Amino acid sequence: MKTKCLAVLAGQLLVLSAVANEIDWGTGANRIYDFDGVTALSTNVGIKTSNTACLVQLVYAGINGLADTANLTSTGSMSDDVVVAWTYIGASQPASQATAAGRFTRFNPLGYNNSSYPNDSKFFIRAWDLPSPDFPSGAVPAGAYYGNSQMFIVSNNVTAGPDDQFTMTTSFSTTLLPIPEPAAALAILTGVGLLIIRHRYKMHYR
Amino acid sequence: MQIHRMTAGLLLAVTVVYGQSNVVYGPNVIGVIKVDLPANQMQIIAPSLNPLNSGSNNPTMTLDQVLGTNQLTAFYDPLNADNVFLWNGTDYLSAWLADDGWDDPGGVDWKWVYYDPSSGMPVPCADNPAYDIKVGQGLWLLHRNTATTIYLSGEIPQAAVITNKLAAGMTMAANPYPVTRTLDQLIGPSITGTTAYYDPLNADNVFLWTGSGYLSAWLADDGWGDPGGLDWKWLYYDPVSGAPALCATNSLFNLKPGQGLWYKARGSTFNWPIARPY
Repeated sequence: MKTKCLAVLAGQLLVLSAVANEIDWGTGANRIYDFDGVTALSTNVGIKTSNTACLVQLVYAGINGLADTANLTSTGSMSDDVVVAWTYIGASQPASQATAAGRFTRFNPLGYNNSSYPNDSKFFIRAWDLPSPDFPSGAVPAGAYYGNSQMFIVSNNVTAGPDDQFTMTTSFSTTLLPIPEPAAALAILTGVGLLIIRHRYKMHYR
Repeated sequence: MQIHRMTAGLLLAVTVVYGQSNVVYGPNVIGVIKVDLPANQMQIIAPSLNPLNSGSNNPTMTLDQVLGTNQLTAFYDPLNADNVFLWNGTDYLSAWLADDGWDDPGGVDWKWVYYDPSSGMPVPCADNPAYDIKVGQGLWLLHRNTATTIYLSGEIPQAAVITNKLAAGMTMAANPYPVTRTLDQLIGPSITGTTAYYDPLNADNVFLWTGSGYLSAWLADDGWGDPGGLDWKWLYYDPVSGAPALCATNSLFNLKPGQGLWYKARGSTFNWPIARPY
């Protein structure tokens, strides 16, 4: 009887084996725009290479499930965010600038092989309005604005279902400024400090 | 492919092995499809044979009829038995091959069974039409034990056309006829309801399970303007070049007898008619 009860319980918990799957990600019919919200990010008119086209990242939103503010160190991730893959505007798109501007697609097997993130994990797409200075490392560009897509949720990673497909359902613009890297921030703070000291010095001896 | 027409009443056993397409047909022709099952792995399988004496009909079949009850791993505990998972459009219906250590009344021994959620007791899948399947349908089979080979047997479908219904979103489907076909031979833009597009994330997709991951393809409407006749064909991304390539030139994308696939339809539900290829 005990065995029977256990078997019933096991049956109720019957699930498919855990299997990693691919995450396909892209803009679909939507686009990513520049700061002005009008000009789609350029592929640099048909050149469409990782060195010349704007950088796009697939970011795991971490435990907090939020798109934390980016910075300018390495891949730009702050807090618990993790950049898991990156590509460029125009990737897997037609050569035509009119079609490809502000768009990209990463589809199996060029997508991201998700073996680490369980169901309900949140991801988002982050785009920069300049190319990466070192695409193989995924480094983010200095002096660039960035923007974040909507959140996507992993749902097929334990059911042996097909790929998760993160297709943007709305466009977005790159209107955010990253937190400067520590050296730049220190220089800015030093400059502000010197201005304050100078101001006080002038006031004192006026 | 060699074809012999057989007289009515003559039974002929043929073996259709993965990678081959030696199909013989005729009234009441019996077919056998050999399916190799690796140890402890999932596989999308698909019946493409009808039960005996079904003639030109396209009847529903029970799991007992499709998979048999004596060639897979049976156990009273579903977590130790071979399992089947049927996709109903939103979720899976699960079943297992029971070797009834329960000693229950009701005859569930050596049958494909599922748990009745109201009683918590195992019930033969044959008693519930939700667990019936037809040719052209795919299903997951989880084989628990050491690698083995099973044989799906039945009557070779004779219907001139068999129509699969593809739902909006995901459907587990298959070629209803036991013949190896390319994706282009099976389904294309001429079938009303398919969605072709240059971007795979907006086009209809096909996913083929490899045992550890998926091969993915999309139905292309080539806004690329590329050379090479990619327009209105099934394509995949070549992992080396990153460029789209024809599935028809890569045998990994051929759909073999006994093999199922996932179809992702971007549009509404539509009918997928498949003509008998023999």
